[in-house]
Amino acid sequence: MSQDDLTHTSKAPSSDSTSPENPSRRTLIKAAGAASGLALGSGAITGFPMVWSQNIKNVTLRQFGTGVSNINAIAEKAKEDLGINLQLTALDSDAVAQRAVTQPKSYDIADIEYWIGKKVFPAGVMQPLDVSRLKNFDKISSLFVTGKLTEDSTIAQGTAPHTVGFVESKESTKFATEPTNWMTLIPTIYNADTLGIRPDLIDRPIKNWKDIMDPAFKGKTSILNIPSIGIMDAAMICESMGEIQYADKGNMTREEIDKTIDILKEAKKAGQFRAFWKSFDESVNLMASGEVVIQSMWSPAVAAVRAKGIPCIYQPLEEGYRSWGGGIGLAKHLSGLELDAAYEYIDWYLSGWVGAYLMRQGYYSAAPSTSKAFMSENEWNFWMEGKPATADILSPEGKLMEKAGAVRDGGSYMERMGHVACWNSVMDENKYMVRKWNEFIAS
Amino acid sequence: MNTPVRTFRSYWQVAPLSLVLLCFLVFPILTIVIVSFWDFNAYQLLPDFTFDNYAFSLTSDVTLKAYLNTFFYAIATWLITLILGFTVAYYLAFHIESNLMRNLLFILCTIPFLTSNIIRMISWIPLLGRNGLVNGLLTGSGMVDQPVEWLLYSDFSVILAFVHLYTLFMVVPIFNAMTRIDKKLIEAAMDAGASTLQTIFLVIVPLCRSGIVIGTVFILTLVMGDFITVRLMSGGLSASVGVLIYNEISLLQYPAAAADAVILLITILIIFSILFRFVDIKKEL
Amino acid sequence: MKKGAIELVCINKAYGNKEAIKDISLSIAAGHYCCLLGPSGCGKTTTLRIIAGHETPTDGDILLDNRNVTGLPPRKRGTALMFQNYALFPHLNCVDNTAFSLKISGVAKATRHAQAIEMLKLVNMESYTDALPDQLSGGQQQRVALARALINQPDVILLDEPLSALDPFLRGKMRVELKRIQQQLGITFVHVTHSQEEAFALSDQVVLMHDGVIEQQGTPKEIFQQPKTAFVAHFIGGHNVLEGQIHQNEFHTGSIRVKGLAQALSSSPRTNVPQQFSLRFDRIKAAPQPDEGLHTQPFTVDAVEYQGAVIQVQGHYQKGPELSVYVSDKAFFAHPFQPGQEIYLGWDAHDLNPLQPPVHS
Repeated sequence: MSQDDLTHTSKAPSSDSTSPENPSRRTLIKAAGAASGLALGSGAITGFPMVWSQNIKNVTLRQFGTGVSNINAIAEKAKEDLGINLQLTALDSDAVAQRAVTQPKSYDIADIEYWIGKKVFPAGVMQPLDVSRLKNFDKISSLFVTGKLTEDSTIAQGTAPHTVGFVESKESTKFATEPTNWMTLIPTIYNADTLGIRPDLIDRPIKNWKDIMDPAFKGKTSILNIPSIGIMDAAMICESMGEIQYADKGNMTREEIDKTIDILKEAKKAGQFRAFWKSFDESVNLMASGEVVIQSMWSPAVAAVRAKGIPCIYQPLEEGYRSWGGGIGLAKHLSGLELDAAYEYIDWYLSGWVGAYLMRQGYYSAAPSTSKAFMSENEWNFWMEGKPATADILSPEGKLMEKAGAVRDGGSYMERMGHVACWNSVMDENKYMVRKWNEFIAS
Repeated sequence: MNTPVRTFRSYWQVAPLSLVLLCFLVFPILTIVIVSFWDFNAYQLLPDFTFDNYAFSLTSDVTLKAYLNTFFYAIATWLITLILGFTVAYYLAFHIESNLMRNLLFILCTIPFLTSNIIRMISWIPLLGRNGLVNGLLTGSGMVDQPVEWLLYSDFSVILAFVHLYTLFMVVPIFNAMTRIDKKLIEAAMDAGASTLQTIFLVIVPLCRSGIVIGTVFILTLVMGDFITVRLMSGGLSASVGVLIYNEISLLQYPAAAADAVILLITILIIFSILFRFVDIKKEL
Repeated sequence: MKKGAIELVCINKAYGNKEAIKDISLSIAAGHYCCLLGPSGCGKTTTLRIIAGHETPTDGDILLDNRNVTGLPPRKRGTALMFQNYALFPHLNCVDNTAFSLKISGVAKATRHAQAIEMLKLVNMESYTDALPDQLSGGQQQRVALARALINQPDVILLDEPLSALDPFLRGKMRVELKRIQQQLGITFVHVTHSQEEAFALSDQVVLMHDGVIEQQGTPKEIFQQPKTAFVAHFIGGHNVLEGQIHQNEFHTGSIRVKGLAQALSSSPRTNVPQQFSLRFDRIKAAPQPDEGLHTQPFTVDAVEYQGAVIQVQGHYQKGPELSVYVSDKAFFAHPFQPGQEIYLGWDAHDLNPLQPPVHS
């Protein structure tokens, strides 16, 4: 989320593991998972046995991506468990897309969102992953493989991750319609976004996306000014208002774009919006200062507002969520030992510790089942099951996030991820949409 | 003594600067001009020779609106910083006698630059926001019933931020020009019966022309090229040319951004060529 | 009746603790050319600026034509100041510079330009109407500055070292010009200078200042013939200053005795009291041999300086004063002296000008 272009280099000490390379790692992981499950600690699993291959020790991998998952603690843990050095660079999502396409030699591992992947992968700067080399592939949520959370769920609109999750062959840049052996991005983190509100400044229940257009909130609303995401929120709003019925909100026609932008322009002219935000900090400030009482928001921004002692709710809405997902992929130039290390790292990523870390921040792990072993029961129940916390919920850094008794906004994993209306996406008419969006901003 | 050796040597002397300018000014601008004729899609740049980017920009209402907006910001900021900057420079040059005091006051003028852009922008919220200090005073004193909304996220706040930030760029060149005015000229004007205002407009202003023009160049380039102040202070509600270009860049639409940048560059150059009609900058420096 | 009579009454001016002018009283008759003469730092420019209204006196009054103008701004006084280095407006051409004060008083463009051209004609600058100050020589700038000062038909023109920036040849020319214009217009000119030559050439009245006080004032002739103090005698040049004592109506300076002083002394001389006299270089006779009317003591020549019409001979008496003597070139070349040679000098007792003790101790 950080807007700064910072390079973090892990400073974790290299661990002096003595274990020889073990052929049956999977069984050991399970054992380790069980062991740490007993530990019941949030991250207090220092005695984790080393089971990872030793020849990748001290290999350096350069990973860049949005700040969401570019977390130093992960690099430190990777150093501890795998012995690899992870250099992290955090950028905003637009910059990530730019860097991925224009400077493919500057990174080894790209941590990008699926809709960015849809832009980047066809440029031929990345290589697909051989899923047969990943021990934890079958733990990945089906959301990223078939697109369905359960057998009978419907696939949401937009760039659903599974639609750009696979290519036909090792050399192909064409996305496959069915799961294949070649995965473009291994999912790491995802969430469902909705509107944030100030319950203390709003005296009626908020149920729909269209509530943001309520004249009662005139001059006290905001949406985000990142065209590819903003247009989605706008589409959710317009559809909720009953003004437009989209065939696919993630891939609008020109007429749909025109109509959507016209509605936005009108609202802007009427003074409905206080501001448009582009960065995490801006959204937090708008909300915390009371300039805005209802706006599109990201989950950690809601947490940040609450951390200031200001009430803020990540309000579930009837129409469902706008969702997004990120994954890590390999740069085309990666080969040999570094490629091996990258595979090792990605497999480790799915093995549970990282997932648990991210879940404690309010995101979801791509392989939830592996993460369970790394979370306390209270944590798992609060974050995944939507049950009231039995004890205080702490962030991975140990800061208080929720008091005992609190229930997660939106409820359980199934309730939230099962109500995704649309995935972040890039449209065929992207160029046109951006121009219309600019028109809206300039109007 | 213009022997070939001397000529050769003098070329060597200008070589480092020429090289720097070539590498860091001419080459990047050429690149931008070339890219502005390329095509692009959502994924990549497509080398080409197309006028589409220009055709779109030059015929689009958005461009026109953004330019009108940018000119509005530029002219309003220019006018206010000119009046403010001239007044401050006048005070510093003619009313402050001690050098120490003058330096102290100059440092005072640089305070806006002591904080980062983002922090500065964010700090406006507690001042101008709905629940901010100013509104607190206004409602508290009963001057208004409802908080004044246009203080923040409006053209007012954009121009306020520009003025807050850039007045120094007007003060310095005008002050510089003023210090070169012979104090005797002011006495001569007084001797001729001129009032203070007459002295300012008939003697000081004409003699500060070079400073005013240089300050104007600063202000116009800074404001017309800005995107961050406009975005943050208008709350993203208005767009200047810089914001348009920034949006295009962040969406990988480099050719469109390059074309807009070239148009902006040409616009600014035209403005400056008109400006320099009024003053021979080389002579005045 | 002519206008432009100036009277300064007990003017004081202090900058902090430093007194620039101490209790000056001065009257300048209407239509006179008055020079304020003195070394730098003597207070002459301050006096001028006080008359102009660019400085406020700490104490005292300024009267112009019997009107107290002490509190009035420059323009209301009927004076016009011509600045040292002229202070022409660099952005205005000659006509606009000249017409500046008319523009201030709201005179229409055509009228003020016509008047300005008239003034430029008076100073022979009518062919440079469109030139900017930068494009003019020093002398030309000065003429424009003068035109600018004159355009309001002031009663008094105040000139601050107007000729100091010019080369000697131009200086002489402009001197004549200034005098011509002053006489043509018949108004009062007050001119600050440190050159006694300039002051003597121009003035009806010379005011010699030193250390913030007036040392002496009078016509150039009065001042040169009867300098009041040793300072004046030194400053205006051409005067020896002798020190000695008076015994029975005889003046003794070391070994020299001068008989029959009586008539030149203003008051009855106090005998045996140290006393100063001035003696002009050109009133001393010099001859290689002792002669009638010359003192019998020999005078040793130290230096001989050729100055054209006269030759300045410097030397000394043993145990006596050092003296300078002007010898006409005709007499000198008839009997040339060499440094080291002993000659004989003589002077009339009535050429000895008794000096008052210094104004300041």
